[in-house]
Amino acid sequence: MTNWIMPTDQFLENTKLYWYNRSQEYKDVETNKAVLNEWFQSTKRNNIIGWDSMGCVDLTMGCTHFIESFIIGQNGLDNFQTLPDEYAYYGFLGKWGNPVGKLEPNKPLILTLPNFNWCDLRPDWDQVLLECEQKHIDIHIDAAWLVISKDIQLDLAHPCIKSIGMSISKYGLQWNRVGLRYSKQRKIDSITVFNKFHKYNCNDNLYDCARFCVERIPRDYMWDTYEELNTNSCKENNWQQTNVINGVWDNGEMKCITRELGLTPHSK
Amino acid sequence: MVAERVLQYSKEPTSELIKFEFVFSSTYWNTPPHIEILIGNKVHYSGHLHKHNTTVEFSAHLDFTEHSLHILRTGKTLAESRHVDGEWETQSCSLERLTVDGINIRNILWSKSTFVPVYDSTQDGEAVVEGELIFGYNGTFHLNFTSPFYQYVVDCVRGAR
Repeated sequence: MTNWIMPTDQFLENTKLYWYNRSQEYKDVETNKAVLNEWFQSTKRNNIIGWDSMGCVDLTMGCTHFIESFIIGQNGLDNFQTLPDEYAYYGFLGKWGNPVGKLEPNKPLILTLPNFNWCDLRPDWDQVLLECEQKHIDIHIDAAWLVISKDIQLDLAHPCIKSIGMSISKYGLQWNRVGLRYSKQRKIDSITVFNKFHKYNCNDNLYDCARFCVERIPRDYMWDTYEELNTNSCKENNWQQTNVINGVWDNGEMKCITRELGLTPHSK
Repeated sequence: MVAERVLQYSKEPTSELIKFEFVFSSTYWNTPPHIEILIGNKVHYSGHLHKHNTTVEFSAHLDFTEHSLHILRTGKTLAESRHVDGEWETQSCSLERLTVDGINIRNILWSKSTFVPVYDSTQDGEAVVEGELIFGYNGTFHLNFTSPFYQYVVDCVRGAR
């Protein structure tokens, strides 16, 4: 299994220093949410459509919060399903995944997309969608890796896709995990409570910081900045490029190349 | 300026699909109680209860506005009660649990619902009983709520309703 190291560089680390070293400006929660919403939607490297079908937009503390909130909303670990080759966190919960073709009807499915095992959509993504259509399965997407991806095509308006969580964390921002949940319908869970019950004066520092960061970091920063380096590294090492900046195929094995790109913390 | 652009992206929903799950309990020696469940004027379930527990499930499209849930309980007559070996046997009907959108709303039922009994000629009592989930008489249970349902729950818990 690949040991993933999230990429960062001096610019991203300076953004953190800049946040800590200067006086900050408070902005209200709706402004912070609006800035993040526009930032996520502004990708030019990916083709994500159907945003207008996701009428409910809520702030989160990253994609793990999205996942945990989803799980709480299902009222029990038996009331949702996962796929094989998924985020290890589900295994910690005792969820090992139902194979494609054997998904349980009417039981919500949460999955990772793009999936780090392929650094792309799952190769069986079309089959997953079809099976979910046939079996009336709602899909909830953890898109934590989307910000460091390119060429991902996704139609959020697909009737089975009910929600998607996005996060800024993969831009070296794990120190201030914030994201958005886009959903077609809210239900009571921890994200709804944070956004509707504790709406004001809640996590202002987190959200102000997230807004501050994305106002300075272009949405497609990693691929815009390191595409040439990634491409040259792939040529030199006979790796096959993927759609995630720090993942390549090396003799049929997925390999994390954060070190090879010189994007490990404090290395650039 | 940013906020204005974002509003163009997202279409706020104006309705939602909400699942309702009722668990009733009943006892009877003669005929079972009958219930009819309505939201507004629309009947979502109508039928007799089984002995012990009966689960009724349905989903309803709800516009984001005020709604009223009604349970019409019928079938109780004087003929349903009898005295056997010093004990009364009768027809009973209770709402044991109501789960809406995955949430057991027990405390909301206790504080927000009403039951309007239909007394027969030999009985009398309160015209409206608050928080009553044991439907000993024929009558109608009422719960007014609003959609989005999560917002209704939030408001109830916050004491805004």
